[in-house]
Amino acid sequence: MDIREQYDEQTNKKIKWISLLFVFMIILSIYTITLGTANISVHEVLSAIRKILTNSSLTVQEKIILHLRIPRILMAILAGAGLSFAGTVMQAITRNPLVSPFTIGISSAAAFGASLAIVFGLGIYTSTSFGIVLTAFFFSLLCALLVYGISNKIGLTPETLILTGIALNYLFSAFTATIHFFSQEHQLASAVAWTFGSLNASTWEHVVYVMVVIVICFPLLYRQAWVFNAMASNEDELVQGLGINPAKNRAVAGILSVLVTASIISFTGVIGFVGLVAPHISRLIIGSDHRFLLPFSTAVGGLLVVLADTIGRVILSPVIIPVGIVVSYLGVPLFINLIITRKKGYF
Amino acid sequence: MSLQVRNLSFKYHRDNILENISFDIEAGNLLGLLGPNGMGKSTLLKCISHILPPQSGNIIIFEKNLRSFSIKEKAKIISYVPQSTYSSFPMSVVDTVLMGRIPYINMKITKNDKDKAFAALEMLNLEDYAFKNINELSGGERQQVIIARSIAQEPSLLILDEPTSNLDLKNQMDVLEKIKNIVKEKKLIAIIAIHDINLASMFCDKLLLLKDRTIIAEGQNKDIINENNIRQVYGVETTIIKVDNRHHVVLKKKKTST
Ligand SMILES: Nc1ncnc2c1ncn2[C@@H]1O[C@H](COP(=O)(O)OP(=O)(O)OP(=O)(O)O)[C@@H](O)[C@H]1O
Ligand SMILES: [Mg+2]
Repeated sequence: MDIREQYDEQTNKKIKWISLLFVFMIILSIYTITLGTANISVHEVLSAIRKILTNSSLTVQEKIILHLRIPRILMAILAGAGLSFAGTVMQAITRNPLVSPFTIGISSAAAFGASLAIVFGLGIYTSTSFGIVLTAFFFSLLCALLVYGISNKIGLTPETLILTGIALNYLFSAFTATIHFFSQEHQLASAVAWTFGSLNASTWEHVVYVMVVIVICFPLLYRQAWVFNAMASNEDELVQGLGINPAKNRAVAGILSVLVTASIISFTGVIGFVGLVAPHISRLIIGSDHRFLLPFSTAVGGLLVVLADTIGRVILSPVIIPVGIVVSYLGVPLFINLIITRKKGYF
Repeated sequence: MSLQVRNLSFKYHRDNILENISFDIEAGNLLGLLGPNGMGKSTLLKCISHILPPQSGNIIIFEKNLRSFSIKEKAKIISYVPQSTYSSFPMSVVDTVLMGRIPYINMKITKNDKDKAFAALEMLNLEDYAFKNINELSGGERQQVIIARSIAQEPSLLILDEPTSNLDLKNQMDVLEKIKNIVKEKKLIAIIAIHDINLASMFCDKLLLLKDRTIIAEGQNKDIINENNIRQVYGVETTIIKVDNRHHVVLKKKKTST
């Protein structure tokens, strides 16, 4: 067969896989709404969604679905999708498979902000839960700006970004540890719990905030798929030779993915692993072409977190295991299995 | 169209690597750059392609100073193939060649872009590898993929840093032959750094000898390839023989010192 036809066929196959994965994610999400302490059937979920959409009056159970289960699951999808997407971008622009949105210190800066708000009630709106969110968000952006500011002095290469990021990571961890050291026990408990990453507090309001950030940032980043292809697989010299300014693109794409990451983890706490592993799982399956990798890893990330959160909710019910913990239990075996059994060339 | 390099000087840190380099080349010509390791061949090629803009001097192309081009405009005129490539997130051969179209695309590749990429693939006979990942190729195959990409980029100025360094005897000839054909056919300018003087003598229209930060000889192959120049540049004793009216270098054995 002609290689042109073969190429087009491969492209169609990839698009089909991506669509299937998204459909699967939606079906799975609707199914997971039924799971939990209150027993609900799929039929009831669907009729509840219909009633919510038509604005009819709701029963108690339907209110649980509307105000607890749905926002929680939407937040799980958004968090997984956003962190995975941001991770894919970060790996591309730093050309480094060990990078995740957290490598450049964002999560520890966010944890520092959260601890600050929890322990001292410092920060905007202080110790209200929204104060915690804002302080965490503020410090993660501050950290990102510091990383960019410092490494910009030496030319914004992948190496300088990663090294300054790691250094600031340690700095903010030290700040956080210092605060924990001087805090009282009940504050310490909630500050540490924050770093586990949890979707317990998800509300429609949170969903909307994160959704807005994602809806703005995703298309801006997806437009750059070819730029990421070039940057992920070539030295900066060659990237320039293809008419791309690597430093500028690295800065813009970096800031956008930091924005996505920060807006998610400010609400959920640190759901770390997914941003590293979902991009790799996706790459192993669909390849490194960012036109397909970006949407695919978005779906993989969403699926992974929805699954992890559901397992965390049901497995020791009524105790809820934080999603940040379950995600690692789920992701590591999956990842290692893929590395070992990976057959060459799915596509 | 022609390329003019005028008084180009460049340094990485303190000392000049290149000093006052000037030369011209007309469209439809293949220029070979010869010189010992570390003399600045790669550096000169990067300066000409403005990957490392020179600290002083100018490069005039299309009668226009390269400094006045945007990075994207430059990429439509110049394609640069580095001495070696490495990739931690390897893509397939087809997608790698398609990257040559990035200067022209606006988000989406078109049928035209695909046609150009596939034509370049076919030109270098890479069809059999089309769907392999680039890291699963041999060094020589990979080198040809990157050359295919630079051709898909449709440059007016093709800059190749040791394009045949990983190739076997036949592929060296084939690749240079193809480069030469496309240069003649499309009236391009090509500049290649190359260590094999005999290959250079076979395929290049003009040669530059680089030593001690500057050009020490420049001109037609016959005028450049002689015992004297080679001793001066490489410090090696040779005999020059004529084959098919071309000058070829035969190495003389070093006298073992006692
Ligand atoms: N990035 C760099 N920073 C500092 N010095 C450099 C850099 N790249 C090259 N050099 C120095 O510049 C000089 C010229 O290097 P260049 O790579 O241009 O040589 P070359 O002629 O291409 O050699 P080769 O035949 O080995 O490829 C060398 O002395 C080298 O050490
Ligand atoms: Mg070199």
